[in-house]
Amino acid sequence: MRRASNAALRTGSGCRQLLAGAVALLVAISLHVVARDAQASDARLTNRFAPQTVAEIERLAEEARSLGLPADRIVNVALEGANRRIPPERVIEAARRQLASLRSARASLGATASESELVAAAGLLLAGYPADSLAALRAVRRGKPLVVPFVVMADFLVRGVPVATTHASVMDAMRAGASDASLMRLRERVERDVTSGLPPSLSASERSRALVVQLRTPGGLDRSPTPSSPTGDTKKGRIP
Amino acid sequence: MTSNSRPRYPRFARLVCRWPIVLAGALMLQIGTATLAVASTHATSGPGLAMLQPFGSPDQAARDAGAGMRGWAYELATSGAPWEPTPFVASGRTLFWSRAHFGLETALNVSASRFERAQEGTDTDLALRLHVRSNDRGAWFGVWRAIDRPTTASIVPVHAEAGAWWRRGPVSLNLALEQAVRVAPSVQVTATTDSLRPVIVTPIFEGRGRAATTSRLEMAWGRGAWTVGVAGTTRMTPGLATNRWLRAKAGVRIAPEIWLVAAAGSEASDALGARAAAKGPSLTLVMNGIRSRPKQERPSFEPRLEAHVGARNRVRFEWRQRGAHSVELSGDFSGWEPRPLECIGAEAWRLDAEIWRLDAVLEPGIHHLLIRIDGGPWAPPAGLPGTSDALYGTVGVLTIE
Repeated sequence: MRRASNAALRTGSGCRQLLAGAVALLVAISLHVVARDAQASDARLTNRFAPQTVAEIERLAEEARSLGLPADRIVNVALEGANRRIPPERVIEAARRQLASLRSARASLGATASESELVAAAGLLLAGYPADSLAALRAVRRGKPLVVPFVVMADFLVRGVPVATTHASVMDAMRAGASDASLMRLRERVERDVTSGLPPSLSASERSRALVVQLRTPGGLDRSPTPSSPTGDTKKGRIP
Repeated sequence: MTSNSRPRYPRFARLVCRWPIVLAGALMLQIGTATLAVASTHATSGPGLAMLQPFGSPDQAARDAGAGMRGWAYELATSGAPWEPTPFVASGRTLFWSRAHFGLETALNVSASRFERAQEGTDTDLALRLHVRSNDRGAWFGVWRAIDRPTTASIVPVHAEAGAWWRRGPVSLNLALEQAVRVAPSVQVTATTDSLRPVIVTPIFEGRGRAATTSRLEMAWGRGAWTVGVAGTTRMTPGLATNRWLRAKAGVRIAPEIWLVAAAGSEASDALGARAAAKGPSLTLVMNGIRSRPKQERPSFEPRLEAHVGARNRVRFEWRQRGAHSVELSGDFSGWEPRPLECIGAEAWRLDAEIWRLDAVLEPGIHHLLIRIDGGPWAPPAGLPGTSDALYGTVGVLTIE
């Protein structure tokens, strides 16, 4: 008998059985890890909120998941609310608003938008940017990621730059061929200007105009994706 | 035609007029503090002396004042009490950091003293110290000697000293050892009270060698404009009993570079015996800061968060700020749980701000962050773009590609 089983192991069918067993074991471990992660996510909510609040947040997250939207953003809004000690009803309201902005971003940017683009666009919409203008940005930068333009525009808006100025500044820079690094430098300069007391609108429009002039000047172009320095200044890209 | 009735004085005249006012104010303050005892700086003194110097040392003051480490730092302290053994003390220290890690300190201490004198006189001590430091800890050694006092029964002219200091967050610790060394035999001293009857002071000790060992441990805690601390001193003198002193002090910053320090308890004197230079409460005025720093070295410094992305999505957050006691980050990377940043001190060549660091692993994508300094409100970190979140707040944005 023992000899027979050894012989079976040496055969191809024995190897296949072993391989199938190993695959089944791996699948079981993966499912266990996934289930444990899901439970951990639930635990983060249950430790902070009442059961009905948790249920509502999980329902919103599930709805986002079913629409192909980043559901963890909903959970993160709830966790942020708990960290800021915001009442549960306001947290639920914020989660709904987050879901609505994600859905609106998806509708404006289309099914090809990446998760990062959706999150950045949702932040932009929550900052007051009109949803119907997102499509215009997509048209200017067709085929390229829009995460950085969205981040820069949202930053402008939260610093007090009006929507129209924000839109015009970034659109002009993008039309002139500004790279992500250039846009980030533009943002850093506006941040410094606003911190030092310059009106946000004036800073954004002037900095953007200077960037466009530089980009359109032969030899003064800064289209290379050079990472910005910590201060945002490079000799090449310095605006006088 | 309009006319301005107020005369406009040239700047030079204003400065000339201002100094007498400052001196008069200092004199009045001196008279005011004369009702309280003095805190002696004779026994051991060095960096980390948070008892008398709330910021510990000139270099600490320089850091808190936002200055670079290279250059001259200074410190002036004054106090007085007519009925104490040391009725008046004025001390000045300068410290020159030639490089970030090495410093040379000179200190001059002038005090009116009744020790070992038939009549009141002025004692002057001069100290020379070498400092070595690395971020929040350091060591020093040096000598100090009395330059206008003769060797008598209990006054030894030369003292060797060494110490180490350590600082972490608001807590500072300073340990100092001092060894009095008799470099020459004692001599007889004649003090004349009048021209006809000389008074002979006979020395007790003879010969060379060690005279007394003094150890001093100080602990202090400081936050914002306030600091408190306690100092314990032990002195072992051959042939005499071991003496111990304990003094607690509390200081408050009353001007950008001026501190008022109140103390209670006893303090060792520079004499070798058990006498205390101060026994009761005291009030001391300390002014410290840094001078002669080139203007171009003053950094236009603004706190900002930097995120360095390494291999396998490891992100190192670095926050530079002066004078912070705690820094926390919170964001979706931590489930919005506050994560404290660790203070790793200042950079070797840029000691104008302390670096706070946190290492974390962040998945690719967009992350929202908030920062909190010294337990204050959560705010988007400077240096990162901001965005609106659904909670009607602004958060910082970090993009990991």
